[in-house]
Amino acid sequence: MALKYYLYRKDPSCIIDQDEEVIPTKQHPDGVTGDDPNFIVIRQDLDPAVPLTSWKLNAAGNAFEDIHAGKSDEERVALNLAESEAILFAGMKDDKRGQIKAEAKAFLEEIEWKVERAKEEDLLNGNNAAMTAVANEKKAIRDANNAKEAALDAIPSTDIASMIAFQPKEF
Amino acid sequence: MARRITQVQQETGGGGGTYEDPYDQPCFATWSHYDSQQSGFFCYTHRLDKHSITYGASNHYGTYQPYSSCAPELLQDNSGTGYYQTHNHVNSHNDYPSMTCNVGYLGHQYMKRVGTNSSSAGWNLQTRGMNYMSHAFTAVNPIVNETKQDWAWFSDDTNNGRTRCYFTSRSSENYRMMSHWQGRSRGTWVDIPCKWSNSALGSSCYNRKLQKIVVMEQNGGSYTFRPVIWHGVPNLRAISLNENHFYDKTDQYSAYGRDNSNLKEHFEASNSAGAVAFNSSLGYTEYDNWTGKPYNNSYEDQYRCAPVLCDNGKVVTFQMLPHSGAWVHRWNENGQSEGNRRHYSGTTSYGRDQGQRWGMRWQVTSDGRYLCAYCPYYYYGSGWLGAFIRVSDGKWLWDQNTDTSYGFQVCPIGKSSFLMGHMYNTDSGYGMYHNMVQLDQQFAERSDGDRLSPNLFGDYEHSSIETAYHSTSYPALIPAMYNTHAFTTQVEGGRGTTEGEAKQTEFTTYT
Repeated sequence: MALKYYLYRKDPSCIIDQDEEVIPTKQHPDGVTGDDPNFIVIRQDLDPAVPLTSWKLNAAGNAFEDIHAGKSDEERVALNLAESEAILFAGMKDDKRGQIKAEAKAFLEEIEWKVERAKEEDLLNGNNAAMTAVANEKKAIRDANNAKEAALDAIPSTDIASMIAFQPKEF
Repeated sequence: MARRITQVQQETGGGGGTYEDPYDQPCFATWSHYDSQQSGFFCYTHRLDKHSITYGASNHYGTYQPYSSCAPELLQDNSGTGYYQTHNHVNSHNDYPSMTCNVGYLGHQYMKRVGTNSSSAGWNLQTRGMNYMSHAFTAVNPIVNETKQDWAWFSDDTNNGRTRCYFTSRSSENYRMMSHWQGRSRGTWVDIPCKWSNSALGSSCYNRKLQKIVVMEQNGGSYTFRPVIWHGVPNLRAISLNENHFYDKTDQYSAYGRDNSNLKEHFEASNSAGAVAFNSSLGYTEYDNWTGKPYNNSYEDQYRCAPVLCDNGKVVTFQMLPHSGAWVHRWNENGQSEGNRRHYSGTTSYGRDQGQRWGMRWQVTSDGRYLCAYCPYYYYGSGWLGAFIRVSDGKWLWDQNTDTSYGFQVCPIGKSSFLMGHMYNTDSGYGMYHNMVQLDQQFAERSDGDRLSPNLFGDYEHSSIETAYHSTSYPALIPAMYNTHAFTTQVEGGRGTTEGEAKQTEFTTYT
């Protein structure tokens, strides 16, 4: 084993580069505020038997620690996948909520023409029956939106398969 | 408005003819999309000027409508899905458009490519179409020393008697039509006899300058490959673009048999000529088995690799090793194994064993003189492991990024360079992060087997390549289709790649 330089990104966290030569610090992309605080270069002697995905920055922020120490290779893979899937789960949930809302918005826009017709029918008939019907139709769309979001929220955070299978547009 | 390749009559100089500005052609497009909000393609030229756009939102912000019943059906079917969505980065997921393995010689496997004369910057496929196209990305064979990169050839199965090769234009759809619907009885394919063991997928290489191909054979899935060089190979581009392997036969009333094409007859004659020396014009040459393979996993490293047949007879291969990274192997000019040149250490990763959308890919510079083969580092599409191989002599360099969150998408740019798109968040006006490598310079300044320096990942440019979505977005890069030949004919003083031309000179006209 030998000392090596490692470039580490804090969020999302991982070692993204390694070299026996000095790795320069990462400049902030704005070009004026110096080094990017999301990156750090660490020089350390890491056990090559430990996968890079198990090394995370310690609490002091100045060295790596094996966060899966004592685990078998299979357990390391499973733990890393769980960490990765937690990030994916959160992202997908955000996406699918957006799709639910977008679908409801599209449905509402598609029946907007009915409002003008209902106003004219109510004017001619001297009541508000047509507008009430349109309002109920729009309410049903919003209720379906809310029900779909509730179903989304009900998926356990550990169930990535259900999150992937969830169909946000079917309502 | 569409940009067109600039073409003007040349009035001075020794060569006559017309001038075409190769850098004014499309190089790549960016893609971003989030639900009903802004989506679209912005295309850039080889000097990174704007080429064209396709941009819009649900039913406003322009005329391109990617969502709701206002949208065309292919878009509406998939809008907001993981195939289209750029709101999230790849991580361990297997769909997002920014995956490293989504781009290759054939473009981007989810998107329509921009052509030289395109008037808009791209378009989408339905999910079914995406998966159909992926098949071609895993089957396409490398082509080097070819300046006219408008054709492709493919090998897509394992067989203990022959390597079946299909020839068509540089189009995953044309290949699909031929291999899936016509392949069993028609289509422009030919069988090359196996000389050692079994055929492999997308694991052959045509060197236009040498007029030779290397066909990698594998021993029935037991992780060993051996190159077989076939000599005096006819012009495969002509066969591909005439769309007919009988194109150079005389028209006649009686039917030709499939074995009567000149190409098939050439391989039969070569087979009969037997094992010969490398500099022969007929026959074949078997190299040694490869040695030093550091890890065995599954389909990807049983049946696939990217070989480069170099001008001096060396053969260099790059192969993804799922769950263990990748490796580079080289044979010397005498066909002897030089062994493992580098093992890129890896972690959990998946190749074609999990489906056709994943695994190793390759691309070649516009002048055909450098090939880059690469694969993701982590799961299906994050990180990047790759090798750059100089065709003239088999010298090679490497680069890598062990990122577990983001994909990296590469494409040729200019004459002999690659552009690497870093698929980070474009938010806050940074646009698509990117970097470029000029390979003539790198190969001149680095030794055989070195890492690129500066590498493609340490620093990056930003704030100049726009993408379509406002706010969080991890875009995709879609390599364009353009006149690669113009980078050889219209640039003075470069190194020639056409047969018999040691060095390109001003006003040289290539055919």
